[in-house]
Amino acid sequence: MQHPMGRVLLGAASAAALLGAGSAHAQTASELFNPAQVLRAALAAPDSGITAATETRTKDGKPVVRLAGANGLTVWVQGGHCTAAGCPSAWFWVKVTPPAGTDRQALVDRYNESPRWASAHVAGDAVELRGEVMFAGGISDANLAQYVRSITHHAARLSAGQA
Amino acid sequence: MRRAALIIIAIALGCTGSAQAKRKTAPAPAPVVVAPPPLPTSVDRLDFEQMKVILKSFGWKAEFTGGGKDPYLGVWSKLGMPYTITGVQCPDDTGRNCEAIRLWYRNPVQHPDAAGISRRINQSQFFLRSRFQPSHDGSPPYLFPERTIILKGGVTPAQIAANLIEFDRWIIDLVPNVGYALPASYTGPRKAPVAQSASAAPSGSGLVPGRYRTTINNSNGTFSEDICMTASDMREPIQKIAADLTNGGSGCSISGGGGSVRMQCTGRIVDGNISASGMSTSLRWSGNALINTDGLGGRDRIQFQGSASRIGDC
Repeated sequence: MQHPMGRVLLGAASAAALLGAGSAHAQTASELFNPAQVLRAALAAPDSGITAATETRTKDGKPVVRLAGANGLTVWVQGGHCTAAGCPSAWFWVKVTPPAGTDRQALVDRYNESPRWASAHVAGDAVELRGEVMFAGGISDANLAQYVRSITHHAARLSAGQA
Repeated sequence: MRRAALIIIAIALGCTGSAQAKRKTAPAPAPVVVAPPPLPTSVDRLDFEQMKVILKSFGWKAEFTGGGKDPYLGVWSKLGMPYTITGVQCPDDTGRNCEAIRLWYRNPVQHPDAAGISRRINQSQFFLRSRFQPSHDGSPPYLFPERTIILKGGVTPAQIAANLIEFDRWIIDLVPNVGYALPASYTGPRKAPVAQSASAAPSGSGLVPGRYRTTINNSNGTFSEDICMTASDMREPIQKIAADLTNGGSGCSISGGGGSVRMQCTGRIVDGNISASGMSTSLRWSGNALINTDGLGGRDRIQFQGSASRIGDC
């Protein structure tokens, strides 16, 4: 299983290459990761529980969108597979802590059995949901909002110990 | 495609009567040119006929459609990889009009460490999603790499194409890495499959760390205890784990291969033979052992069977 990790490293390297390319987001709004679009779509997402959406930066300067939910969940969104031209996808992730005593691995395995966009895995004492949205070909705000809704909905369920 | 065929039939039927009446005088009819169905600008529900048109637009083929309550579309990528598309979040029992689609590799992939591989896939990247499922005939568990694409809200055909082509790349990379040759229909460059035993070895037992309730039967009775096993423990072969559990939690080494291996321990067991099988959160084993009966050199040979199931975190 060298490939998945290799690709992640490649993605990280590409993301690093974006550091000097802050103007990438001034290009096409819908075919590249655009924090402004994510903010707009997230706040309009139906039943997502998102109460605040802010753009921030990682320590190394990469743009990241922070979506705060009413239930205390925080979804992070960052550009994926970035080059100097921009990021053709977005990586979503959220960590939740299931109730004490929950068998986290069993919960994650049950969750992954069902067809959902994001996958789950055990991350220490927490469970992490992650998924990638491709922007290539264009993505509408309404469709992007559904991905936000999906990950917040399932994160809330996992935090309650439900697959 | 069906729409195009209907148009051709309708035109042919409409022309039949008049063509016969005017056969001697009418000029030869111009060939009927039927425009391909237009590519939709946006898709927000699964429609198999529409999906076939979209697939064709970027060189994929829809080979067949399965009916019934859970209809599916059998497709081939441009490079000849076989996939299945099914509907997800379907508002009714027809399996159509679904708000999302799930794409998965159609050929079965079985691996002794399907659970471990699946978990590592989900942990190490964002695009591909994986699940695993035990087989019903004792063969290795199944691995299902997949991708779900949400259509609700509207998706362009180009975005569907981007998702499917990226998925195709992932599967072409993954299949040889889990010990399978790419299918004969595949036309791209090939990579030799990695031997399953080699790729399974680093991941060990495939069991999930945690607290296991262990029950062992032998000629002296039935004994049960809860034993905590760490991630480090679980990286060992399953026979080693079973031997340690039989010995009280640790202290054994194993040698040999095949169904039954030789074990040597310090503690309750002196040596013996053991075979074991299991997956994810449970295991079973059996064997025989020379045991230390009194700590003073007394020995007895016993037969034993054991089982353990995960009951929670440590």
